[in-house]
Amino acid sequence: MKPTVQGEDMREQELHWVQQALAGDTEAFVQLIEIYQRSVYNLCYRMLGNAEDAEDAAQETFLRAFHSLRKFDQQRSFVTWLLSIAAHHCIDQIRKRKMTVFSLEDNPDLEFASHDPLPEATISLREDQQRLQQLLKRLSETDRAAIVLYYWYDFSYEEIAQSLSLTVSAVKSRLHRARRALAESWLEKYPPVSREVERKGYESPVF
Amino acid sequence: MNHRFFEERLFADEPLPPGEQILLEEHIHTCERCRALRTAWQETEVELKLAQWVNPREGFSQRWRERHLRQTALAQQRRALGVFLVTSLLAALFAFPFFALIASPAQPLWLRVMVAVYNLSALIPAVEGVVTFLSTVGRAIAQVIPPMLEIAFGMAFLGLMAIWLVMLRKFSFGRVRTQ
Repeated sequence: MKPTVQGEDMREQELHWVQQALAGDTEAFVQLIEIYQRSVYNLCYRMLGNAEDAEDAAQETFLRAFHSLRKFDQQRSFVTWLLSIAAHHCIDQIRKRKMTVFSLEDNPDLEFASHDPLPEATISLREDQQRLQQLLKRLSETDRAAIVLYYWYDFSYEEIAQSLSLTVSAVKSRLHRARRALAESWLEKYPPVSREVERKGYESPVF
Repeated sequence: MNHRFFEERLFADEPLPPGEQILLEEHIHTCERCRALRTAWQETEVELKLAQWVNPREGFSQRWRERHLRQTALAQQRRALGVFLVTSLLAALFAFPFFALIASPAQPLWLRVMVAVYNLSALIPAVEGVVTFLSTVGRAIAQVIPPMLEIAFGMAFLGLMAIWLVMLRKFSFGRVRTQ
């Protein structure tokens, strides 16, 4: 799902807010935050792996965007530019802090997109998210950004290249390497034998 | 074709040419490692595609507003401090020769008090050398430059002080624009 405003009217409205924000109107920029906060936050969360750091990074992304609005090329997509700032900021944060450990149990206030899920569903969602984050953290920060932009944001190779300041061939190569690393991690965590055992567990004479 | 060749193609994003696809399928049929990797990647890809989006807590934009105001205020304070330090340094550079110039017992009391204050700074050992140097330079300048230029020096000093006060007021007490 590509996070973008739909239609020409909305695009015009977006540019209008950008121009008002350029003139110093903070409230116009807040309108843009309202639209894109989820996209930016989700990217930061996938990159950094916890709610607190994701909130901080998302806030910082919008501040940087606000202060660098003059550099924004209005022919380009605003969200691509915004996510590019977020991705670079997260990559810098990971490099700076050398974040390696992530635990969802540390973040009880984690909110998912679905509304009011049942407790069982919440538990299941959390387990899925945890499994996913465990996989993502095995990737280098740039490979992780490429995977997140490709699978969550439906970015093309060109858009990823533009967002991460890479060449298209470098993006392809990074995505290929990341897929391989993810598959190997998955295989390591869930070897074929254990999956076979899990699958046939109910057939055991014990049950 | 070797095992590596097929393993690389397992993660190709674009469809393989039909001939290569058939060869890959044949290889997977016989190679346990490639079979396991392909299954692992297929399961991982499903996981990635079905993953839920994560939302920020309520009030994200309000928290941004507050953070923006805090950061703006902090930037203003930093600018004011910078202006203060630069103008203080410039004022000191102008003041030392000026005080040295007027250091005479025949001057009025208020001027002698200022000179005394200036002399106090010479008590600080760390700056004594600098003070002596600047005083000497000041006296040397006083012997060379005409009285009109001395007045001009004084006026420049006062002008700098005025700029310093205006800048301090502007950057320290300026209202943060939110609309």
